[in-house]
Amino acid sequence: MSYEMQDVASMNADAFESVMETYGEDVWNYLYMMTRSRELADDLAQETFIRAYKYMHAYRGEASLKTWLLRIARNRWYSYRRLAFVRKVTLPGNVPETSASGSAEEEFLRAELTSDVWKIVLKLPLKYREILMLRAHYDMTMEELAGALGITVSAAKTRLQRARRKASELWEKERGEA
Amino acid sequence: MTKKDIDWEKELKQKPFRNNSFTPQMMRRVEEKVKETPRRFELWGRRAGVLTLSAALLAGIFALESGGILDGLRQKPPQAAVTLPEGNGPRTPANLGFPLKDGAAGSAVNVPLTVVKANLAVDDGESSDALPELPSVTFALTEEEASALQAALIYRPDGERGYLLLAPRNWTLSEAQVGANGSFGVTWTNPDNSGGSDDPDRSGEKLTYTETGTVGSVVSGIGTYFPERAEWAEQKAFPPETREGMTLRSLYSNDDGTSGFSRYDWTRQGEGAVASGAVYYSLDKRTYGLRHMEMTLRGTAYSGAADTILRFFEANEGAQRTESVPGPNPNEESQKGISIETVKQKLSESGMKLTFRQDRDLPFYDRPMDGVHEEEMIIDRNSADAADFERLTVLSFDSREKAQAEVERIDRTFRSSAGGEGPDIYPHVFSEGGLVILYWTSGSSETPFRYDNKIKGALRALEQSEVQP
Repeated sequence: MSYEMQDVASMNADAFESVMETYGEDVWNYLYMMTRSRELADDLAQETFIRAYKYMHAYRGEASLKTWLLRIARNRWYSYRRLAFVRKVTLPGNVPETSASGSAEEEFLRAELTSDVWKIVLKLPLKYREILMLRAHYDMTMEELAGALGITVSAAKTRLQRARRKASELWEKERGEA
Repeated sequence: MTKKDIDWEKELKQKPFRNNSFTPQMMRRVEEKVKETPRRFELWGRRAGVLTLSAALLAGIFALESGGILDGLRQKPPQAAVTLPEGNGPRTPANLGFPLKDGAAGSAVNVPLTVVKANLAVDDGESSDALPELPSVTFALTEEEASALQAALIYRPDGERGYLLLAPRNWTLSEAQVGANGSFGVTWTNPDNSGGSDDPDRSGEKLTYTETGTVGSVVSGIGTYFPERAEWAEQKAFPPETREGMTLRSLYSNDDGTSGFSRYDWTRQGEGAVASGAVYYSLDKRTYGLRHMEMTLRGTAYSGAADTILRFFEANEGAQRTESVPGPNPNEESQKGISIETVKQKLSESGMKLTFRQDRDLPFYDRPMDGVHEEEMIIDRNSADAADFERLTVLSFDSREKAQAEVERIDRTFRSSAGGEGPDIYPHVFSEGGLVILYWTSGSSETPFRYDNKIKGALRALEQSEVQP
C-alpha cells in the first residue's frame, strides 16, 4: 500500500490507523532490533506514531513513508538513550535495564525468530546490525542509508561491507561452536 | 551454509519474527493520544491572530526605522574618557564617565560606579581579585539621566569576562551569582520598596539581569519573547512560558534569525506591578545565549531610569562585557599545546580521574565521526558512582581541519535536533589541533544543569575559545 503525500499531510486520526496497520510491524521490528527489548520497542513504536501524526504536515514525500517513519523511530531511540542517562543520574535505579529480563527476551526470541540469521544480526554491534537491517530488510538505497545515518554514501558502503563481514565471521564462529 | 554462501541481503528479506508485535491495543493507545493533541498546523491556525499582531508590530518598527525616528536611539556618540578604578586597589566606588548626550565633543558626565565580585556556585579555589579593564563606554547620557543612575562592574574571581550594567541610583545590589552551568546574573532592589518575604504576593521594586547559555533556557526564552519563534521552540521540546498581560514594544532580528532583540512591558496579573524588560538572543556558536533584563516597578518614579537602563542593554546586546583577566596561576600548558594526558593530570589535581567506559555503559555519542572512533571516558569523582557521572568523549583526528569539521558537525547535530528532540545531555565542545573533546553536562526541568568549572578550566587549556553548540 502506498500513500500520496497529500493524503498523508491531511490525514485525520481515524485514517491514520491504516498507516499503523501497514507500517506498525516494520517500525516495531526495527526498534526491537535496535533496543533488544520488547518493552522499549512497544513504547518507542507508539511514540514514533504519535510523533509522526503530530508532524505529518511536514512530510514532504522526499523519502517513502516507511523510510520517514523509520527515521522518526531512530530519533526516538537515540533520544531515549540520551534521556536514559539523565534518569540514571537523577533517579538511580529507575531506568529499565534492557538486559534485566534476559530470560523472557530469550524465550521470546526462541519462539518468534524466523531464522538463525536474525539471531546473528542481533548479536552484532549496534551500528552494524542497524545498517545491515536497513539495507537488507528495509531495502534502503545507499543514499537513503547515508541520509538516515547521517554519514556519507562512501562511509555507508564501507560500514555495510564491514557489517556483512562481521556477520559472516560471527556466523562461522557460531557454526564452529555448534 | 558456509561463510561464502551467506547472502545477507537475501537472507534478511524475510520477516525477523513470526508474529506482529505491534498490537491493536498499541494502535488504540496511539489513536487516543493523537486525538487528545492538536497537530502543529492546527496550533498554527490558533496562533494566527498573535502572529498577525506581531507582523503589524514589526511593520510599525520598520516604518519608524525608515523614517529615521529611531536614529537617535541607535546613535553611537563619541567615546568619552572613563575614570578607571585602580587595577588591584580597594573596591571603593568610583566614577565612570559616559559621553554627554548633545554635549560638546569629548564632554562626559559621571555616574557612580560600584565594583562587585560575583559569587561562583562552583569555586575551584583559585580565585583572583584582579579587576578587569573597563570596556570603552560609548552610550551617551544626558545629565538628567545620569543623575538617576549608577553603574556596576561585576567581575569574576575565576578570571572570566565580567560585565557592566546600569541600575537606578541608590538601589541595592543584593547578589551577583555565577551558576554551576555557567549562567550568571545580578539583582538590585529598591531599599524603599523592597517588598518583603512576609508578603509574597506583593513583590517589591527590583531589577534583574540574567545571561544563560543552556539550550533549554535559551530556546524556551526565545519562544516567550519572539512570537514567530514560539513554534520552533516547542518543536525542540522547550515550550515557551506564556505571560499573560505582556505587550511587545519592540521586536527585531537579523536576516537569518540567528540573533534578535525584544522589548516588552508586562502587567503582572493581580500584583499591581508593571515589569519592563528587554531580551537579546544569539544562536551564533561564538555568542550563543540569552540575555534578559527586567525591571519591576510600582508607580512611575523610576520609569525614566528604566527606559535608559533598557536602552543601554539594547545598545550592548545585553550587559557590556569586559575582557577576561589572567588568573593567579597562568596555565603554562596552554602556551605549549596540550594532550589528553595533560587534561587527565589537570583533573587529577582537582581530585578527579578519568576512567574508560565499560562495555555495560552505553556511549553517549557513537555517531560516525569521519571514521574516527570515540574514546569515552567517565569523570570519576567518587569511584562508587563513577559510571553514572559526567563524561568526556575524546576524538583524535590526524589534522586540525578534520577536527574542526567534526566540531561543526557536532554543532549542527545538536542544533538541528528536529522533531521535538530536546537534548537533555548537552555537550560543551573544546578543540585544539586534532583533538576534540566533548564535555557532557546534563540536566532537566527538575535538576539544574551541572557545569563544573574545574573541568571547564582544565579543558579551556585546550583552546582559547569554547565552541557552543
